[in-house]
Amino acid sequence: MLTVKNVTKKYGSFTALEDVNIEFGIGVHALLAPNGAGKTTLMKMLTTLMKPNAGEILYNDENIFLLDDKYRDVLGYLPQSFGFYKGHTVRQFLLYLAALKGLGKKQANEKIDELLANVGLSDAASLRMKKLSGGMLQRVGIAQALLNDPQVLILDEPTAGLDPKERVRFRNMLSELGKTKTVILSTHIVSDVESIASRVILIKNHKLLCNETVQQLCSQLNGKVFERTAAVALHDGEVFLSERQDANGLVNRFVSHSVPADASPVNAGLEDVFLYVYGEEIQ
Amino acid sequence: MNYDIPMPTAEEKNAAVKVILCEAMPPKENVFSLLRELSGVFGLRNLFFGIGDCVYLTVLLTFLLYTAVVAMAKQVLCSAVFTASPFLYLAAWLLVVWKEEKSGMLTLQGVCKYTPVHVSAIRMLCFGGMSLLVDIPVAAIAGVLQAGDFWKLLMLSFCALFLYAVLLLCLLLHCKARFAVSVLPVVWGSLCLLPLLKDYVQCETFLRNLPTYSLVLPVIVFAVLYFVLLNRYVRKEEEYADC
Repeated sequence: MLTVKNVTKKYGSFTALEDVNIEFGIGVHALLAPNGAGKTTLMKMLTTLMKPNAGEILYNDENIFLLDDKYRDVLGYLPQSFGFYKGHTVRQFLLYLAALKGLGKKQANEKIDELLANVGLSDAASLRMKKLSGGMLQRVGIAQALLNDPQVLILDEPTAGLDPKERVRFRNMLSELGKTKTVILSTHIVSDVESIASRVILIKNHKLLCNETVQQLCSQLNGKVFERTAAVALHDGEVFLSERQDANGLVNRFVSHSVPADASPVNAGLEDVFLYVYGEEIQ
Repeated sequence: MNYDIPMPTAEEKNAAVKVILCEAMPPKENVFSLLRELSGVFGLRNLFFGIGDCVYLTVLLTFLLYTAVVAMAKQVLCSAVFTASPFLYLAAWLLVVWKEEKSGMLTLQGVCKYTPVHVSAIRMLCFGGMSLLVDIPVAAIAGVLQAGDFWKLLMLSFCALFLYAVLLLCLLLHCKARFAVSVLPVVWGSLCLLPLLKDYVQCETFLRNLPTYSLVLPVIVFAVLYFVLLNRYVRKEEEYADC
């Protein structure tokens, strides 16, 4: 169990996160927020790359900064972007990181073979890192995060650069990992988390807004999401979410707390919640 | 009676052994225990992973500098040996830190069991050892070619090397690596070259007249201080988030 307790992080006078409290158990936890909300800052603190100004982060009731290498021993992390030495091959790169994670060479080679197969890069093991495409690099990043069979897996925008097929494969992998491990992923791609996240954490104005299941979040908008042709302007009190094209033309999707006579109700999804909560910030 | 006790799988056993070892093993108290631990899984190849070109360039530059010192510094031999002795250590650090920062690997390394600080500490020992080994033939050749006292030159060069390494560790303990490795060469160069430029005869005379045995104590003091600070450095908590 990973516990964030009253954590605040400031950069000079700017408060990136304020008094955040979250508990991460086994399962997939999705941090959903627009850019700049403080997701990456929280991730960096969860990975010990950065210390909070106030509060503490506990792993099984012990401070992660005091646990030091014992915590990092059970940690896997994929940053938003990562550097590498361009001239080395994928296997050399992974072997180096495996050594830093304390794995012996034989064990590391076996693990690398297994992970490269899982991420569909078995044939690329001897390719130089500089020859890899963005999607392949991201898959190498995912493989390195899993090298030490981590109990806590933290992934910052893991599906960036992946094509739809890779994203589905990755979602399945995460879903499987989430059965036995604590998986925390930050993203602003709602579809990535809708099907696999056991809990969704929303951060707004640098504070924790909510930490609930997808169903709980969506239920808050149930009966309040409607669609109507875009030819009709939004009425007072209606909050625009998105628009889509159908056979009859453009259709507006919006939230209304009363039932409009000229609109049809639709089921609320996580994207509706996201757009409703962050609508102003995104626009 | 049913004695069918469910036994753990090999994976569960390994995990349990790992947990027990992790809990029972004493913490990494000093740089030597870290060295022992790392040598089991790390090896020279990983220690110099990605920085082979930096080491090659350092060795090349050191060779050129020492050739110049040995061949041309007859008038200021002691001062030149003292000033130039930490060069391999200095150049290796400057290039390695520059390359690591440029590669962007620190974020990934910073979340591993062995952090860049651990690896740096072991690399320090290696570069220190390399510097000591290089300083011995340099002192010997300089002694022969320029009629200098071998032991005096050796003690001067060890003294300079350990002093530089101690100053670098002091800075590393309190500031970011990129600041430490770029500021210290400037400070070292200024402190050594300014007196030489002002009155090189007096500086050289002072160093030549120092009894060799009087240099042994500073060498021992700086060497002990080096290992004390290195042990402290191994336990340093570094933030890699802005790398």
